[in-house]
Amino acid sequence: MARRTASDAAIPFAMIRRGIPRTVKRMPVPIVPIEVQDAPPLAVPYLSGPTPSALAALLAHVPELVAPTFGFMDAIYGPSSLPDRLKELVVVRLSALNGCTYCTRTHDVFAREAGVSASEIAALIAEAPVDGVTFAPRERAALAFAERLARDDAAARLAASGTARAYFREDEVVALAMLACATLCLNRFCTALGVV
Amino acid sequence: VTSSVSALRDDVRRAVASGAIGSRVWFYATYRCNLVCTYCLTESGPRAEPRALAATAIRRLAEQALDLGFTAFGVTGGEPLLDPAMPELLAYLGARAPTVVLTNATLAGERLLPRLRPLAGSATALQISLDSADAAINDAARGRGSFARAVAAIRRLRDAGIRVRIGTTVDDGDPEALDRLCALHRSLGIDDADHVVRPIVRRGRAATNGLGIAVDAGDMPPELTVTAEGVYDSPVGPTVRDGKLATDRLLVRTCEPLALGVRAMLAVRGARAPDATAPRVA
Repeated sequence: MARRTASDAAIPFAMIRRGIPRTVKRMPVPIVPIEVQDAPPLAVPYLSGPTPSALAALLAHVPELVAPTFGFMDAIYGPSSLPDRLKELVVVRLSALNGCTYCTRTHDVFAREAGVSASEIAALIAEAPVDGVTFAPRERAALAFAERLARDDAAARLAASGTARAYFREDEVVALAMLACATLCLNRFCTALGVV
Repeated sequence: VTSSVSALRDDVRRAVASGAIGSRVWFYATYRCNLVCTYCLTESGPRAEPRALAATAIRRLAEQALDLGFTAFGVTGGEPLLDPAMPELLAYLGARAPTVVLTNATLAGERLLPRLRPLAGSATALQISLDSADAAINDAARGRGSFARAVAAIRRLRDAGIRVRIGTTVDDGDPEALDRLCALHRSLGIDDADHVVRPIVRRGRAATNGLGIAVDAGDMPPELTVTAEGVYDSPVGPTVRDGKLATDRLLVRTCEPLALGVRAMLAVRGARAPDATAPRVA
Protein backbone atom coordinates (compact mmCIF):
# COMPACT_ATOMS: atom_id res chain seq x y z
CA MET A 1 0.00 0.00 0.00
CA ALA A 2 1.36 3.44 -0.92
CA ARG A 3 2.15 5.52 2.12
CA ARG A 4 1.17 9.13 1.98
CA THR A 5 3.76 11.58 3.13
CA ALA A 6 3.79 15.33 3.49
CA SER A 7 6.03 15.57 0.43
CA ASP A 8 3.24 14.16 -1.79
CA ALA A 9 1.56 17.54 -1.75
CA ALA A 10 4.66 19.20 -3.17
CA ILE A 11 4.39 17.37 -6.51
CA PRO A 12 2.14 19.32 -8.88
CA PHE A 13 -0.87 17.49 -10.27
CA ALA A 14 0.36 18.15 -13.83
CA MET A 15 3.51 16.16 -13.09
CA ILE A 16 1.44 13.27 -11.78
CA ARG A 17 -0.62 13.35 -14.97
CA ARG A 18 2.57 13.19 -16.98
CA GLY A 19 3.40 10.03 -15.12
CA ILE A 20 6.13 11.22 -12.76
CA PRO A 21 6.08 8.77 -9.86
CA ARG A 22 4.97 10.34 -6.61
CA THR A 23 7.86 8.84 -4.70
CA VAL A 24 11.09 9.66 -6.46
CA LYS A 25 13.96 7.63 -5.09
CA ARG A 26 17.26 9.46 -5.34
CA MET A 27 19.36 6.32 -5.35
CA PRO A 28 18.59 3.50 -7.75
CA VAL A 29 17.58 0.40 -5.81
CA PRO A 30 18.21 -2.69 -7.94
CA ILE A 31 16.07 -5.81 -7.70
CA VAL A 32 18.43 -8.26 -6.04
CA PRO A 33 18.40 -11.86 -7.32
CA ILE A 34 17.56 -14.42 -4.62
CA GLU A 35 20.32 -16.89 -3.79
CA VAL A 36 19.48 -20.55 -3.28
CA GLN A 37 19.84 -20.40 0.53
CA ASP A 38 17.17 -17.67 0.64
CA ALA A 39 14.97 -19.23 -2.03
CA PRO A 40 11.27 -19.84 -1.42
CA PRO A 41 10.47 -23.59 -1.46
CA LEU A 42 8.64 -23.39 -4.79
CA ALA A 43 11.69 -21.75 -6.41
CA VAL A 44 14.37 -24.03 -4.96
CA PRO A 45 14.24 -26.65 -7.79
CA TYR A 46 14.97 -23.88 -10.31
CA LEU A 47 17.89 -22.46 -8.34
CA SER A 48 19.71 -25.55 -7.18
CA GLY A 49 21.02 -26.97 -10.47
CA PRO A 50 24.62 -26.66 -11.67
CA THR A 51 23.66 -23.57 -13.68
CA PRO A 52 21.01 -21.73 -11.68
CA SER A 53 18.99 -19.51 -13.97
CA ALA A 54 19.40 -15.76 -13.51
CA LEU A 55 15.77 -15.45 -14.53
CA ALA A 56 14.66 -17.86 -11.77
CA ALA A 57 16.66 -15.90 -9.20
CA LEU A 58 14.55 -12.83 -9.96
CA LEU A 59 11.22 -14.63 -10.41
CA ALA A 60 11.82 -16.22 -6.98
CA HIS A 61 10.62 -12.94 -5.46
CA VAL A 62 7.16 -14.07 -6.58
CA PRO A 63 7.33 -17.85 -6.08
CA GLU A 64 3.97 -18.60 -7.67
CA LEU A 65 5.30 -17.24 -10.99
CA VAL A 66 8.32 -19.53 -11.18
CA ALA A 67 6.86 -22.90 -12.21
CA PRO A 68 4.22 -21.44 -14.56
CA THR A 69 6.80 -19.22 -16.27
CA PHE A 70 9.27 -22.05 -16.77
CA GLY A 71 6.45 -24.34 -17.89
CA PHE A 72 5.43 -21.71 -20.43
CA MET A 73 9.02 -21.33 -21.59
CA ASP A 74 9.45 -25.10 -21.89
CA ALA A 75 6.36 -25.31 -24.09
CA ILE A 76 7.69 -22.59 -26.36
CA TYR A 77 11.47 -23.06 -26.39
CA GLY A 78 11.52 -26.81 -25.76
CA PRO A 79 10.92 -29.46 -28.43
CA SER A 80 7.91 -28.42 -30.51
CA SER A 81 6.43 -28.61 -33.99
CA LEU A 82 8.76 -25.82 -35.21
CA PRO A 83 12.36 -26.86 -35.95
CA ASP A 84 14.90 -25.81 -33.30
CA ARG A 85 17.04 -24.04 -35.87
CA LEU A 86 14.16 -21.88 -37.07
CA LYS A 87 13.20 -20.99 -33.51
CA GLU A 88 16.74 -20.02 -32.56
CA LEU A 89 17.07 -17.79 -35.64
CA VAL A 90 13.99 -15.88 -34.49
CA VAL A 91 15.09 -15.68 -30.85
CA VAL A 92 18.61 -14.44 -31.60
CA ARG A 93 17.31 -11.91 -34.12
CA LEU A 94 14.64 -10.47 -31.80
CA SER A 95 16.91 -10.45 -28.76
CA ALA A 96 19.56 -8.50 -30.69
CA LEU A 97 16.90 -6.19 -32.11
CA ASN A 98 15.62 -5.48 -28.59
CA GLY A 99 19.12 -4.99 -27.23
CA CYS A 100 18.82 -7.78 -24.67
CA THR A 101 22.41 -8.83 -24.03
CA TYR A 102 21.46 -11.68 -21.70
CA CYS A 103 19.03 -13.35 -24.12
CA THR A 104 21.35 -12.78 -27.09
CA ARG A 105 24.31 -14.33 -25.27
CA THR A 106 22.45 -17.37 -23.89
CA HIS A 107 20.73 -18.09 -27.21
CA ASP A 108 23.99 -17.70 -29.10
CA VAL A 109 24.89 -21.02 -27.43
CA PHE A 110 21.50 -22.66 -28.05
CA ALA A 111 21.55 -21.47 -31.68
CA ARG A 112 24.97 -23.03 -32.28
CA GLU A 113 23.63 -26.29 -30.80
CA ALA A 114 20.69 -26.09 -33.19
CA GLY A 115 23.01 -25.88 -36.19
CA VAL A 116 23.19 -22.11 -36.73
CA SER A 117 26.69 -21.14 -37.90
CA ALA A 118 28.82 -18.36 -36.39
CA SER A 119 28.49 -16.22 -39.50
CA GLU A 120 24.72 -16.74 -39.54
CA ILE A 121 24.56 -15.53 -35.93
CA ALA A 122 26.72 -12.54 -36.88
CA ALA A 123 24.27 -11.71 -39.67
CA LEU A 124 21.29 -12.00 -37.30
CA ILE A 125 22.91 -9.73 -34.72
CA ALA A 126 24.24 -7.20 -37.20
CA GLU A 127 20.81 -6.45 -38.73
CA ALA A 128 22.73 -6.29 -41.98
CA PRO A 129 23.68 -8.71 -44.73
CA VAL A 130 26.84 -10.69 -44.10
CA ASP A 131 28.76 -11.94 -47.10
CA GLY A 132 27.97 -15.51 -47.93
CA VAL A 133 25.00 -15.82 -45.54
CA THR A 134 21.65 -16.53 -47.10
CA PHE A 135 18.73 -17.91 -45.12
CA ALA A 136 16.20 -20.28 -46.65
CA PRO A 137 12.94 -18.70 -47.87
CA ARG A 138 10.98 -20.17 -44.94
CA GLU A 139 13.56 -18.79 -42.51
CA ARG A 140 13.42 -15.37 -44.11
CA ALA A 141 9.64 -15.41 -43.88
CA ALA A 142 9.77 -16.34 -40.18
CA LEU A 143 12.33 -13.60 -39.47
CA ALA A 144 10.33 -10.98 -41.39
CA PHE A 145 7.16 -11.92 -39.51
CA ALA A 146 8.89 -11.81 -36.12
CA GLU A 147 10.49 -8.44 -36.88
CA ARG A 148 7.18 -6.93 -37.88
CA LEU A 149 5.53 -8.36 -34.81
CA ALA A 150 8.24 -6.80 -32.65
CA ARG A 151 8.05 -3.38 -34.25
CA ASP A 152 4.58 -2.64 -35.58
CA ASP A 153 1.19 -4.11 -34.67
CA ALA A 154 -0.46 -3.27 -37.99
CA ALA A 155 2.36 -4.69 -40.08
CA ALA A 156 2.37 -7.80 -37.91
CA ARG A 157 -1.28 -8.42 -38.64
CA LEU A 158 -0.70 -8.18 -42.35
CA ALA A 159 2.39 -10.36 -42.11
CA ALA A 160 0.56 -13.06 -40.16
CA SER A 161 -2.07 -13.42 -42.84
CA GLY A 162 0.27 -12.68 -45.75
CA THR A 163 3.98 -13.49 -45.85
CA ALA A 164 4.01 -15.91 -42.93
CA ARG A 165 0.89 -17.69 -44.07
CA ALA A 166 2.46 -18.24 -47.50
CA TYR A 167 5.19 -20.37 -45.93
CA PHE A 168 3.61 -21.73 -42.75
CA ARG A 169 0.51 -23.64 -41.74
CA GLU A 170 -2.02 -22.01 -39.41
CA ASP A 171 -0.67 -23.80 -36.34
CA GLU A 172 2.90 -22.85 -37.28
CA VAL A 173 1.97 -19.15 -37.51
CA VAL A 174 0.38 -19.43 -34.05
CA ALA A 175 3.50 -21.11 -32.66
CA LEU A 176 5.75 -18.51 -34.33
CA ALA A 177 3.68 -15.64 -32.96
CA MET A 178 3.89 -17.04 -29.43
CA LEU A 179 7.62 -17.62 -29.85
CA ALA A 180 8.12 -14.01 -30.90
CA CYS A 181 5.85 -12.63 -28.17
CA ALA A 182 7.48 -14.72 -25.43
CA THR A 183 10.90 -13.58 -26.61
CA LEU A 184 9.83 -9.93 -26.56
CA CYS A 185 8.45 -10.43 -23.06
CA LEU A 186 11.65 -12.01 -21.76
CA ASN A 187 13.87 -9.48 -23.58
CA ARG A 188 12.05 -6.64 -21.86
CA PHE A 189 11.98 -8.36 -18.46
CA CYS A 190 15.69 -9.20 -18.49
CA THR A 191 16.72 -5.77 -19.73
CA ALA A 192 14.51 -3.84 -17.30
CA LEU A 193 15.50 -5.90 -14.25
CA GLY A 194 19.16 -6.05 -15.14
CA VAL A 195 19.57 -9.75 -15.86
CA VAL A 196 23.06 -9.97 -17.28
CA VAL B 1 -5.31 -27.98 -12.01
CA THR B 2 -7.64 -26.03 -9.75
CA SER B 3 -9.28 -28.22 -7.17
CA SER B 4 -12.59 -27.17 -5.71
CA VAL B 5 -12.87 -25.69 -2.23
CA SER B 6 -14.38 -28.90 -0.86
CA ALA B 7 -11.57 -31.03 -2.29
CA LEU B 8 -9.00 -28.61 -0.91
CA ARG B 9 -10.74 -28.67 2.48
CA ASP B 10 -10.49 -32.47 2.51
CA ASP B 11 -6.77 -32.23 1.70
CA VAL B 12 -6.26 -29.71 4.51
CA ARG B 13 -8.12 -31.88 7.03
CA ARG B 14 -6.09 -34.93 6.03
CA ALA B 15 -2.81 -33.00 6.34
CA VAL B 16 -3.85 -31.61 9.73
CA ALA B 17 -4.97 -35.03 10.96
CA SER B 18 -1.64 -36.56 9.91
CA GLY B 19 0.24 -33.84 11.76
CA ALA B 20 1.93 -32.64 8.58
CA ILE B 21 0.51 -29.13 8.98
CA GLY B 22 -1.02 -27.27 11.90
CA SER B 23 -4.70 -26.40 12.24
CA ARG B 24 -3.89 -22.78 13.10
CA VAL B 25 -3.52 -19.89 10.67
CA TRP B 26 -1.33 -16.98 11.76
CA PHE B 27 -1.72 -13.34 10.81
CA TYR B 28 1.07 -10.77 11.10
CA ALA B 29 -1.02 -7.70 11.92
CA THR B 30 1.92 -5.26 11.89
CA TYR B 31 5.70 -5.22 12.13
CA ARG B 32 5.62 -2.06 14.26
CA CYS B 33 6.14 -2.40 17.99
CA ASN B 34 6.43 -0.06 20.94
CA LEU B 35 9.27 -2.22 22.28
CA VAL B 36 12.64 -3.09 20.72
CA CYS B 37 13.54 -6.53 22.12
CA THR B 38 17.08 -7.79 21.68
CA TYR B 39 15.99 -11.16 20.29
CA CYS B 40 13.14 -9.97 18.07
CA LEU B 41 12.75 -12.12 14.93
CA THR B 42 11.20 -9.31 12.94
CA GLU B 43 13.37 -6.30 13.86
CA SER B 44 10.19 -4.75 15.16
CA GLY B 45 10.24 -1.34 16.79
CA PRO B 46 8.59 2.07 16.63
CA ARG B 47 10.27 2.88 13.32
CA ALA B 48 9.98 -0.52 11.62
CA GLU B 49 8.41 -0.72 8.17
CA PRO B 50 4.78 -1.43 9.22
CA ARG B 51 3.91 -4.14 6.65
CA ALA B 52 0.41 -3.80 8.13
CA LEU B 53 -2.23 -6.41 7.39
CA ALA B 54 -5.51 -4.56 7.83
CA ALA B 55 -8.07 -5.95 10.27
CA THR B 56 -10.61 -6.02 7.44
CA ALA B 57 -8.26 -8.20 5.38
CA ILE B 58 -7.67 -10.48 8.37
CA ARG B 59 -11.44 -10.95 8.73
CA ARG B 60 -11.77 -11.96 5.09
CA LEU B 61 -8.77 -14.28 5.30
CA ALA B 62 -10.09 -15.86 8.50
CA GLU B 63 -13.41 -16.67 6.83
CA GLN B 64 -11.54 -18.26 3.92
CA ALA B 65 -9.35 -20.22 6.35
CA LEU B 66 -12.40 -21.66 8.15
CA ASP B 67 -13.93 -22.54 4.79
CA LEU B 68 -10.73 -24.38 3.86
CA GLY B 69 -10.72 -26.50 7.01
CA PHE B 70 -8.47 -24.59 9.43
CA THR B 71 -9.79 -24.43 12.98
CA ALA B 72 -7.70 -21.96 14.98
CA PHE B 73 -6.20 -18.49 14.59
CA GLY B 74 -3.14 -16.66 15.82
CA VAL B 75 -2.41 -12.96 15.60
CA THR B 76 1.13 -11.73 15.98
CA GLY B 77 3.52 -8.96 14.95
CA GLY B 78 5.08 -6.56 15.93
CA GLU B 79 2.64 -5.55 18.58
CA PRO B 80 -0.90 -6.34 17.39
CA LEU B 81 -2.52 -3.97 19.90
CA LEU B 82 -0.97 -1.04 18.02
CA ASP B 83 -3.75 -1.58 15.48
CA PRO B 84 -6.70 0.42 16.79
CA ALA B 85 -9.09 -2.15 15.29
CA MET B 86 -7.50 -5.05 17.18
CA PRO B 87 -9.88 -5.55 20.15
CA GLU B 88 -12.90 -5.92 17.88
CA LEU B 89 -10.94 -8.14 15.48
CA LEU B 90 -9.97 -10.44 18.35
CA ALA B 91 -13.60 -10.69 19.46
CA TYR B 92 -14.60 -11.48 15.87
CA LEU B 93 -11.96 -14.19 15.50
CA GLY B 94 -12.64 -15.61 18.98
CA ALA B 95 -16.32 -15.97 18.16
CA ARG B 96 -15.35 -18.26 15.27
CA ALA B 97 -12.39 -20.31 16.47
CA PRO B 98 -9.86 -20.56 19.29
CA THR B 99 -7.59 -17.56 18.86
CA VAL B 100 -4.34 -16.53 20.47
CA VAL B 101 -2.77 -13.10 20.14
CA LEU B 102 0.89 -12.64 20.97
CA THR B 103 1.32 -9.33 22.77
CA ASN B 104 3.65 -7.49 25.11
CA ALA B 105 0.46 -6.22 26.81
CA THR B 106 2.11 -2.91 27.64
CA LEU B 107 -0.69 -1.21 25.73
CA ALA B 108 -3.44 -3.18 27.52
CA GLY B 109 -3.89 -0.47 30.12
CA GLU B 110 -7.01 0.96 31.77
CA ARG B 111 -7.84 2.94 28.63
CA LEU B 112 -8.01 -0.12 26.35
CA LEU B 113 -9.62 -2.41 28.95
CA PRO B 114 -13.27 -1.56 28.19
CA ARG B 115 -12.74 -2.63 24.57
CA LEU B 116 -11.01 -5.83 25.60
CA ARG B 117 -13.72 -6.84 28.10
CA PRO B 118 -15.88 -8.58 25.43
CA LEU B 119 -13.07 -11.16 25.18
CA ALA B 120 -13.95 -12.42 28.68
CA GLY B 121 -15.21 -15.97 28.40
CA SER B 122 -14.45 -16.10 24.66
CA ALA B 123 -12.08 -18.42 22.83
CA THR B 124 -9.50 -15.65 22.53
CA ALA B 125 -6.43 -15.76 24.75
CA LEU B 126 -3.81 -13.07 25.11
CA GLN B 127 -0.34 -14.60 25.22
CA ILE B 128 1.76 -12.09 27.10
CA SER B 129 5.53 -12.08 26.86
CA LEU B 130 7.37 -12.41 30.16
CA ASP B 131 10.91 -13.78 30.16
CA SER B 132 11.92 -13.71 33.80
CA ALA B 133 10.62 -13.25 37.34
CA ASP B 134 13.49 -10.81 37.71
CA ALA B 135 12.39 -7.46 36.34
CA ALA B 136 15.96 -6.42 35.57
CA ILE B 137 16.63 -9.54 33.48
CA ASN B 138 13.30 -9.26 31.66
CA ASP B 139 13.81 -5.57 30.97
CA ALA B 140 17.39 -6.00 29.76
CA ALA B 141 16.02 -7.98 26.79
CA ARG B 142 12.60 -6.35 26.42
CA GLY B 143 13.02 -2.75 27.49
CA ARG B 144 12.84 -0.74 30.69
CA GLY B 145 9.49 -0.90 32.46
CA SER B 146 8.18 -3.76 30.29
CA PHE B 147 8.12 -6.22 33.24
CA ALA B 148 6.06 -3.96 35.49
CA ARG B 149 3.62 -3.09 32.72
CA ALA B 150 3.23 -6.73 31.64
CA VAL B 151 2.56 -7.95 35.20
CA ALA B 152 0.08 -5.13 35.79
CA ALA B 153 -1.69 -6.02 32.53
CA ILE B 154 -1.80 -9.72 33.43
CA ARG B 155 -3.55 -8.86 36.72
CA ARG B 156 -5.91 -6.40 35.04
CA LEU B 157 -6.89 -8.81 32.23
CA ARG B 158 -7.27 -11.77 34.61
CA ASP B 159 -9.52 -9.66 36.84
CA ALA B 160 -11.62 -8.83 33.79
CA GLY B 161 -12.07 -12.57 33.14
CA ILE B 162 -9.93 -12.62 29.98
CA ARG B 163 -7.84 -15.71 29.34
CA VAL B 164 -4.12 -14.97 29.69
CA ARG B 165 -1.19 -17.15 28.74
CA ILE B 166 2.46 -16.41 29.37
CA GLY B 167 5.00 -16.67 26.57
CA THR B 168 8.62 -16.99 27.66
CA THR B 169 11.55 -16.70 25.28
CA VAL B 170 14.84 -17.87 26.74
CA ASP B 171 18.38 -18.34 25.51
CA ASP B 172 20.03 -20.36 28.28
CA GLY B 173 17.13 -22.18 29.92
CA ASP B 174 18.46 -21.74 33.48
CA PRO B 175 16.12 -24.12 35.39
CA GLU B 176 16.21 -22.15 38.66
CA ALA B 177 15.29 -18.89 36.90
CA LEU B 178 12.49 -20.75 35.14
CA ASP B 179 11.23 -22.11 38.49
CA ARG B 180 11.04 -18.57 39.86
CA LEU B 181 9.10 -17.46 36.76
CA CYS B 182 6.68 -20.39 37.12
CA ALA B 183 6.13 -19.48 40.78
CA LEU B 184 5.33 -15.94 39.63
CA HIS B 185 2.81 -16.95 36.96
CA ARG B 186 1.12 -19.38 39.36
CA SER B 187 0.85 -16.57 41.90
CA LEU B 188 -0.84 -14.53 39.15
CA GLY B 189 -3.37 -17.34 38.71
CA ILE B 190 -2.01 -18.79 35.47
CA ASP B 191 -1.74 -22.58 35.12
CA ASP B 192 1.36 -24.33 33.86
CA ALA B 193 -0.64 -25.38 30.78
CA ASP B 194 -0.91 -21.71 29.88
CA HIS B 195 2.83 -21.08 30.11
CA VAL B 196 4.71 -21.48 26.83
CA VAL B 197 8.51 -21.60 26.91
CA ARG B 198 10.44 -21.47 23.63
CA PRO B 199 14.05 -20.85 22.69
CA ILE B 200 15.32 -17.73 20.98
CA VAL B 201 15.53 -18.41 17.26
CA ARG B 202 18.60 -17.12 15.46
CA ARG B 203 16.85 -15.01 12.87
CA GLY B 204 16.20 -11.29 12.56
CA ARG B 205 17.60 -9.09 15.31
CA ALA B 206 18.49 -12.18 17.36
CA ALA B 207 20.86 -13.24 14.57
CA THR B 208 22.31 -9.73 14.33
CA ASN B 209 22.93 -9.86 18.09
CA GLY B 210 24.33 -13.41 17.96
CA LEU B 211 21.50 -14.81 20.10
CA GLY B 212 19.60 -18.08 20.02
CA ILE B 213 19.65 -21.34 18.13
CA ALA B 214 19.92 -21.78 14.38
CA VAL B 215 16.86 -23.51 12.90
CA ASP B 216 16.01 -25.05 9.56
CA ALA B 217 12.65 -25.67 7.96
CA GLY B 218 12.12 -28.92 9.87
CA ASP B 219 12.42 -27.05 13.19
CA MET B 220 9.83 -24.46 12.22
CA PRO B 221 6.23 -25.28 13.08
CA PRO B 222 4.34 -25.95 9.83
CA GLU B 223 1.54 -23.44 10.34
CA LEU B 224 0.15 -21.30 7.54
CA THR B 225 1.13 -17.68 8.12
CA VAL B 226 -0.16 -14.61 6.32
CA THR B 227 1.65 -11.27 6.18
CA ALA B 228 0.88 -8.16 4.16
CA GLU B 229 3.65 -9.21 1.78
CA GLY B 230 2.93 -12.88 1.28
CA VAL B 231 1.97 -16.27 2.69
CA TYR B 232 4.57 -18.32 4.59
CA ASP B 233 4.74 -21.94 5.75
CA SER B 234 5.57 -21.08 9.37
CA PRO B 235 5.13 -18.18 11.79
CA VAL B 236 8.92 -18.29 12.22
CA GLY B 237 9.31 -17.71 8.46
CA PRO B 238 8.57 -14.04 7.75
CA THR B 239 11.43 -12.64 9.81
CA VAL B 240 13.29 -9.42 9.03
CA ARG B 241 17.05 -8.91 8.93
CA ASP B 242 18.71 -5.63 7.98
CA GLY B 243 15.28 -4.36 6.97
CA LYS B 244 14.74 -7.22 4.51
CA LEU B 245 11.83 -9.62 4.85
CA ALA B 246 13.06 -13.24 4.63
CA THR B 247 12.02 -15.26 1.59
CA ASP B 248 13.29 -18.74 2.51
CA ARG B 249 9.87 -19.86 3.84
CA LEU B 250 7.79 -17.71 1.48
CA LEU B 251 5.07 -19.74 -0.24
CA VAL B 252 3.33 -17.19 -2.46
CA ARG B 253 2.94 -13.41 -2.64
CA THR B 254 -0.77 -13.66 -3.37
CA CYS B 255 -2.63 -13.48 -0.04
CA GLU B 256 -6.16 -13.61 -1.41
CA PRO B 257 -7.71 -15.93 -2.23
CA LEU B 258 -6.07 -17.83 0.60
CA ALA B 259 -6.61 -21.06 -1.35
CA LEU B 260 -3.54 -20.23 -3.44
CA GLY B 261 -1.33 -20.15 -0.37
CA VAL B 262 -3.02 -23.24 1.04
CA ARG B 263 -2.26 -25.23 -2.12
CA ALA B 264 1.38 -24.16 -1.93
CA MET B 265 1.43 -25.08 1.78
CA LEU B 266 0.15 -28.57 1.00
CA ALA B 267 2.67 -28.95 -1.83
CA VAL B 268 5.57 -27.89 0.39
CA ARG B 269 4.59 -29.29 3.79
CA GLY B 270 1.54 -31.48 3.25
CA ALA B 271 3.28 -34.77 2.68
CA ARG B 272 5.92 -34.49 5.38
CA ALA B 273 5.19 -35.85 8.81
CA PRO B 274 6.69 -33.69 11.54
CA ASP B 275 9.90 -34.90 13.15
CA ALA B 276 8.94 -35.71 16.71
CA THR B 277 12.49 -35.08 17.93
CA ALA B 278 12.77 -31.62 16.38
CA PRO B 279 12.75 -28.74 18.86
CA ARG B 280 9.56 -26.73 18.92
CA VAL B 281 10.28 -23.09 18.37
CA ALA B 282 6.93 -21.32 18.46
